[in-house]
Amino acid sequence: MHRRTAGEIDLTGSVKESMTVAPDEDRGAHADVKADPAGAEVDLDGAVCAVIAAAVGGSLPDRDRELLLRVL
Amino acid sequence: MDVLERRVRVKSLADPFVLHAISDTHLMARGCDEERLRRHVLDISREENSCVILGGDLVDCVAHDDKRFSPSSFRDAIQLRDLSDLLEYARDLVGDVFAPVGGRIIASITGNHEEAYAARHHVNVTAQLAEVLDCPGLGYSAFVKIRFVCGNETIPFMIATTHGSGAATSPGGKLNRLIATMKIFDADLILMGHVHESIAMQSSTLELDPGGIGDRTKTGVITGTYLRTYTMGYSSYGERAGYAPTRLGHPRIEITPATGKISVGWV
Repeated sequence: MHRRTAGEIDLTGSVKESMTVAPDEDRGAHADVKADPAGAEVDLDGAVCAVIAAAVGGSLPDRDRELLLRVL
Repeated sequence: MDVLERRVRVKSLADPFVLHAISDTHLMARGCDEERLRRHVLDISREENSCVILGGDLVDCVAHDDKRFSPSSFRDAIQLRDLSDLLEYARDLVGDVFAPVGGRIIASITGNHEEAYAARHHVNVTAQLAEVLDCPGLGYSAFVKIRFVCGNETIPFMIATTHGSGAATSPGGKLNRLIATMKIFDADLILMGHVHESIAMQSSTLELDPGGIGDRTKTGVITGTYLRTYTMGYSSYGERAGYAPTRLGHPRIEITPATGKISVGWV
């Protein structure tokens, strides 16, 4: 027979607090390898990229375009 | 047998604390209603003042050297290569399913399915699963002494939990098994799994206290299952044996620490 103890469970906080997901600071840096945790679909029709490309005064290379879309 | 003490800090000892006793989920089995289990776990994660205790047979874990083995008994998502490390697969799946209630699992005990795999493969399945569940992994039976804490006040509450045994198939037979188990343990709440049923009962014994004849009440609960007896397109062991279908889910037990009142509902 083993007698053991384990850490205290604290239920005094609200469930919403305990369910809060810490922001992933690396998300931007690893956007090319991480899936969107919300599972949101990315619009690949180019409309968003076209707007941003116009804003930066030119066109976006394919790699940057893909990265941008994933980050968005 | 193990003995575990755990402190649970609550906002008020007068408010009901909710214990979800989940057992016999048989994850990895084709008959496991995993979608229902995941939904229930998510619901628990949103419930204030609640914890989970796990009662064994979390995973089916029937390997090729087990007489119950059948390739068709595995969940659809499993791949042939997953059989090269079934325990790793089990760890990943269990960790994922119960992640929403992480930090609120009081303990996880051993069931006969974990025990059978452990005996054949020289691994402690319960300890492996407990690691991903971030809770103590205990043997087949355990006393779990909860200490409800609020401020400087502490109220103890004793749970005896066992996976259970036997091959009772009728409601009466299962109830008799629960009554026999309740005679073994002196605890406020006795939890028993294995027989895949949703039954709760309370029994009292008389005692003489300063106010006259009083009584002490025990609550016994059979902790349900998430394994379907009958599954479309597949004949399970239970179907071949002619078992009755059972209700899928688990008991939701409300305990009021200040009064000792216990009430049992079903999820």
